Amino acid sequence: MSPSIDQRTVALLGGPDSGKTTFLAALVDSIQQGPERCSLEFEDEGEDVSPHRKLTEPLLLGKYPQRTKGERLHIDLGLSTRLSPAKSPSHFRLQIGDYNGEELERLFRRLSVDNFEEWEQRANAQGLLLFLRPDAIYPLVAKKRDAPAGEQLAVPGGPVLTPADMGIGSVVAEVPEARKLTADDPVRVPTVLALVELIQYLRRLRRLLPGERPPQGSFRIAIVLSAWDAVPATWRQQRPVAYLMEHASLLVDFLASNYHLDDVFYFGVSSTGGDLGVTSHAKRYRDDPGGYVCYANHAGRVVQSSDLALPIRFVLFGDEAIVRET
Amino acid sequence: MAIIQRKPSSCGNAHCTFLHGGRCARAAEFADPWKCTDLVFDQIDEVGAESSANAEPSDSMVTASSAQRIDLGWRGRHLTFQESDLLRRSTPARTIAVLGDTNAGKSSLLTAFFLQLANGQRERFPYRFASSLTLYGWRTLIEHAADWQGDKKESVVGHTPKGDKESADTFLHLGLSPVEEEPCGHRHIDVLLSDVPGEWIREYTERANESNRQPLAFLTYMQVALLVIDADRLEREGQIAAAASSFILQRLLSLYNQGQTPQLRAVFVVLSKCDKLKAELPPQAADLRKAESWPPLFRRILAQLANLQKRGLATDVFVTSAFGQPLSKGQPKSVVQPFGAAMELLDGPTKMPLAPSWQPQAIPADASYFYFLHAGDGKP
Ligand SMILES: Nc1nc2c(ncn2[C@@H]2O[C@H](COP(=O)(O)OP(=O)(O)OP(=O)(O)O)[C@@H](O)[C@H]2O)c(=O)[nH]1
Ligand SMILES: Nc1nc2c(ncn2[C@@H]2O[C@H](COP(=O)(O)OP(=O)(O)OP(=O)(O)O)[C@@H](O)[C@H]2O)c(=O)[nH]1
Ligand SMILES: [Mg+2]
Ligand SMILES: [Mg+2]
Repeated sequence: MSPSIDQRTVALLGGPDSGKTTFLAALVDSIQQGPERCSLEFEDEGEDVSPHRKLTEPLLLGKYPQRTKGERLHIDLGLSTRLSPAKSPSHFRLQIGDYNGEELERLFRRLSVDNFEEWEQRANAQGLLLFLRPDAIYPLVAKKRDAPAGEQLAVPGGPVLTPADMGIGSVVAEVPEARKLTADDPVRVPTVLALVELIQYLRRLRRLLPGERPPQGSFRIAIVLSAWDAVPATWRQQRPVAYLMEHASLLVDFLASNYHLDDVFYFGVSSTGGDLGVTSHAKRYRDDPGGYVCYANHAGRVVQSSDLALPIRFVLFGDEAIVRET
Repeated sequence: MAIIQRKPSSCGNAHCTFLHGGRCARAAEFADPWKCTDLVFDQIDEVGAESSANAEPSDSMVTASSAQRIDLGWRGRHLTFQESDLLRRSTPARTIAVLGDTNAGKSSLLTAFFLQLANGQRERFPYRFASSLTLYGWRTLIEHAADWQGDKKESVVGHTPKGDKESADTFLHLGLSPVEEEPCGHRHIDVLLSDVPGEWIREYTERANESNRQPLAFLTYMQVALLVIDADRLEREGQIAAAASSFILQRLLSLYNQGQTPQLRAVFVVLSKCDKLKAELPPQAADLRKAESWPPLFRRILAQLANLQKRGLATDVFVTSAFGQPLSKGQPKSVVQPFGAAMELLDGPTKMPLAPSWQPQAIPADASYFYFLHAGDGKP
């Protein structure tokens, strides 16, 4: 491997229980399973493989990883990928560190960070994977312990919505508008204020003024709606951004006002292809581990792929690196 | 390498305003606020690089060592007058003063407005949420409102606390980006929305002396005043309550006539809690502007509005309901409209230049938007 190889860093953030560690583990595992499964090809595992082993171990046993506390695992891999079959592969080293979601609320409350260097690294990364887990969007982060179990699942209320009801046209290159609510619709409590604060902080470290869009391609954000398999099927048939527009349009608005349209992409990701808490699925998973990614292609159609690396490819290379799959 | 200790870049205590010209939150413990242990000093070595923060701190170290904490650069809470003043040096922030007696529904109106904006329900408000320096402040209000289950005896958002007059929390902040200018628009408009206790407004209306003026010093640069009037109370208490609101309008008129509010463009009356109102209001929006179509109870208020209009100010009346029911039971009514009308004046096609045309003031070379929170020290 040449020493001048490109270093690519991807920041990974999200609230507690949002599926970060599971995704990271499933990604490493799918790279190991080879090009049939994953578009990132393994070239150099680096000096210390113990983090990779620790990450994937629970999944291979058919279990979810423990909540991230204390030790935060870090992947650092030499990889290659082809943007299209005709192109020669790009080689790079990918670094992604796990994040403890509990820190998010602390950051929001205290408005200070403890490990500044890490934050600087995140701010200077090529891009960000931002995790939200739809089946665990709590009304408010601080109150989540009180949330009755029945309230946690964010099911669309009333009649089943189609993308047209959502005010979402077929043209992808525009920012969607939220559905107009009727007088009796409940007022949704925004759950993403802490995430917005966190991105504001990353922007400030990059010395971006509010509303200032960084040069196109310099910092991409992949919004990962995790545990997509647990989302009601009516939502899964729609573009992932439609889900977010209904449940957290503040975040979509914030991203639209601060980034180029092409620099933000919305994914529905099922790292484990189903719930490992269900015995039959855990068994299936142990035999043939894998997950899937849903996204909208250029025509606005929802596409499903078994390549868990797509969010990474988007962040590193832009949407030309994903829409090939149509 | 020699370590030069510089002045503190921030304070780890969220309630401290000392570095922004206010008070040390632990003044009782530290006679000399510079000795307060919550202050964060950046250590700079000779070449100016920040000294590395040792090994990666483990989770347990993290909470213990507040000395390593780096502030985000803003407090997330309401901006104090001093902070907003500094913000206005780097950006021509639009200032909307939300006025009215205590319990009028000011904070409720602001909260419901933010919720509508956050949920994409922004009819005739062609702006997207783009940023906020007071997200924590917004969330505190929202948490309160979300807790409220409809008990009439309980408050929805809580009485706005009367802080220390010199450095009290004054403004909620929003950064907006105009929707029609997408996808290539780059404009970011800062909006300051006052959220102050009604007592201050009552006291100042009663006596416009220096001490009462102090916490409302921002009135000198407000561009739109929204006077929130509790319509339910008006109905229950009658003319005496109407008179109290008229006095506020009269006070605004005298300030304007004396040239003390040079940027003021419009005064809007917002009738709040209209879910409780029994009186028949003019049915058509257009009729709201005609005094004859109102019940006598409102005449006094409308007369004062007409007076303001004669002096060249835009005026209007909005009928709103922020929390006629708990959040889970339905949408607020017309809470976005007054803000939409204000933005139309301040940023719409017919906008007049911001009075005494805004000029960025000289700020240091490494000036940033966040200049105001670490004056002179551009480092995060
Ligand atoms: N059904 C399903 N559940 C998932 C999936 N990924 C994650 N989960 C669930 O989400 C939980 C949390 O996932 P983690 O990966 O530990 O979340 P995290 O973001 O690392 O959380 P912290 O470490 O607390 O910051 C898991 O225990 C699973 O219950 C998925 O693909 N499908
Ligand atoms: N029925 C009804 N009650 C409301 C509405 N808005 C506010 N209230 C009630 O009025 C109370 C006071 O509202 P606030 O928003 O706190 O009033 P304020 O003007 O900010 O008061 P101060 O902070 O004391 O100056 C709330 O606690 C509610 O009980 C509304 O739209 N409908
Ligand atoms: Mg984790
Ligand atoms: Mg209040």
